[in-house]
Amino acid sequence: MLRRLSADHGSFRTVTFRPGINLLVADTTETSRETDSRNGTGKSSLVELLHFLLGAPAGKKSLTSRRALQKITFALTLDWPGDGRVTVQRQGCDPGFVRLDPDVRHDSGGLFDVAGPAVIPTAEWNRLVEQTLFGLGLDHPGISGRTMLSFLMRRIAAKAFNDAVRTFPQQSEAEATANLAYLLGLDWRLAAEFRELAARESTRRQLRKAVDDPVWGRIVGSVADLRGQIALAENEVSRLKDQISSFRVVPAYEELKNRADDINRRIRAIPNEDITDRRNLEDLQKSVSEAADPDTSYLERAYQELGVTLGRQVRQRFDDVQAFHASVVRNRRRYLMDEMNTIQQRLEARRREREQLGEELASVLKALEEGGALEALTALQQALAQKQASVDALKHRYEAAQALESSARQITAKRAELQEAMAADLDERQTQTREAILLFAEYARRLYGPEHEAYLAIQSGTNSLKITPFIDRGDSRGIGNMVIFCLDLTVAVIARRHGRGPDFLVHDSHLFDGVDDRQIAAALTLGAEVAEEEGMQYIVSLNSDDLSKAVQRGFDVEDRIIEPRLTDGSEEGGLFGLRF
Amino acid sequence: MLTPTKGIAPDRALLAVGAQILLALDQPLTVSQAWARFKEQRARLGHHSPVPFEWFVLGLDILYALGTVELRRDLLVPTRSEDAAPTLR
Repeated sequence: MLRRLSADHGSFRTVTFRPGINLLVADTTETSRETDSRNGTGKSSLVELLHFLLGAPAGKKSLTSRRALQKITFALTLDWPGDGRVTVQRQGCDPGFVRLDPDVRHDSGGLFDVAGPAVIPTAEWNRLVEQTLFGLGLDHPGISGRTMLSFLMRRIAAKAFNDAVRTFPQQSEAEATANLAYLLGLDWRLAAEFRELAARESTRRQLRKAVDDPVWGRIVGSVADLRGQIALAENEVSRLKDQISSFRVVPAYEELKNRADDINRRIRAIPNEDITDRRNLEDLQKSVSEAADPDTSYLERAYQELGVTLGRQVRQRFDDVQAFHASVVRNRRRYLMDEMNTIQQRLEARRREREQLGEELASVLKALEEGGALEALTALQQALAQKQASVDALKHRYEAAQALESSARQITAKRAELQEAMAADLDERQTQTREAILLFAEYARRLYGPEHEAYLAIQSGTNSLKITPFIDRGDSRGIGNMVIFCLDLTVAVIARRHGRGPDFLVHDSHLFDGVDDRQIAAALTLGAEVAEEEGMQYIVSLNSDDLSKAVQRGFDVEDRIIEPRLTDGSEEGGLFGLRF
Repeated sequence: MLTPTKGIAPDRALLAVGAQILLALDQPLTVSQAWARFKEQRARLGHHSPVPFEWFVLGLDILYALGTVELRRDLLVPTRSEDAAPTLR
């Protein structure tokens, strides 16, 4: 039960709730013009605030984030199973935390004298609401307390009155029905699996689109293209592997290369040296042939001249000089011969050296030819590793592409399987489904009489569990809204009976827009009765003219209207007591 | 021949040649080494007129006759004036 909605702002008009039916009425005043209607009195804001205090996400556009309201601390007091009552406070400017008084978190410690207030993250508050009000465990993929609260307190801001089985128009059917399935006591896990399937399906569809896109397609690629690419890349890999396995590492490759260069240089230098030596040799040979025929006449002449010119200085007798001359010339020949021999030996040595160098060069070059440096091998291995990696990447893409092509079949198969399982499950849960179906039919009958066909179809569909509320009323305006009324009441009652939901249902006045007077009266009467019988709370905001129609049709309002009575006649008339 | 004449250039006169040989003989040398150094010496001095071996030997003979060069164990040795043989009478 909700007990009290208040705020720490003087003009805010505290709303106090009672068990059973609660009517929050908005008046038309004499002064209000037609254009005023009664928007802005705070009827819809009531629902928004309840959601806000029960942990709804508060975006920038939400009511409580408005400048005039964000500093206000709102408070909601509600019954809390096991703890009596709890008051939760939350502020629009600090939506990440709520203040709980008392702290209803159940520590394993157990015995507290009096639990004081505590400030906890809103996410934790959401979890508490799920656990305590909806009896959800910790792990419940696909359903959430927030979504179920949106069924029990439909928000006009979220266009929740467009479709009976959705809390907002873009909601996937799978998600919506999973939550309804939980409230109605069906196998919500099966229903939620449709959600996953839908997610997979949409991913697949997007991927499919991506593959067909000329740019994105390159990221995944088609199976056929990839097969070709993989073949090429693997070929390259095996080529590299062969190269590596036959690669002989030449030790000290660099030194060898340098040696080859040295040899080359030396081989080229040898002829130059040879040229010098040959020239010398020729000179020597000439000298030898010259010296072979010594001209002694000269000597005599020279000696005589010496005697004439430097007579006193001549120390040696002519015979001696002649002997010296002869020995010089003779030795000279020997020397020259020696020298020629040396040169010839040098030439010969060089010839041999050249041959040997040639052989060595050949062998070095061969070694270089056959093998390679360690660096070259490393480079090869690196290239191989890269190629290998690219092959792996291609294979991954190939698998992805294959998965993409096969996932369509898989999804279809899975869907059929799910549908089957769901159908079987529904068969076995006839007790639960019958309860809901009967209740819905009963409520519809109460509103429209027995002559109109009305049913709640619960069946296994291809894309989700199908919950179809239906009332045949032909052309009646507002019929959709009454379908919503019946469904909400059914869901709330069943969830409440089996401890899967809270004991309150809140309806915005929009639900009765365009509904016939008779149905308004019937619906209010029914709501009051059901709330009474089931020990629940039915909170309705209502325009005073709708209420007066209902009263004329026999609805008993006594003790059913709660404070405050809202009006659009003045600034203070609304729920907040101020215009913003 | 010893001194320059009409047909013999100053750098080919035997005395000049002898002087060039002495310049080359800074240490005991074989005849062929002396010949080689002598040719280098002439090139260094910028004398480009050819001096055949014969002429070089004559230069050596002159130096020997003057007692400034001897052949010891096949090496040409420059002799200092103290070592020179006594003057003939």
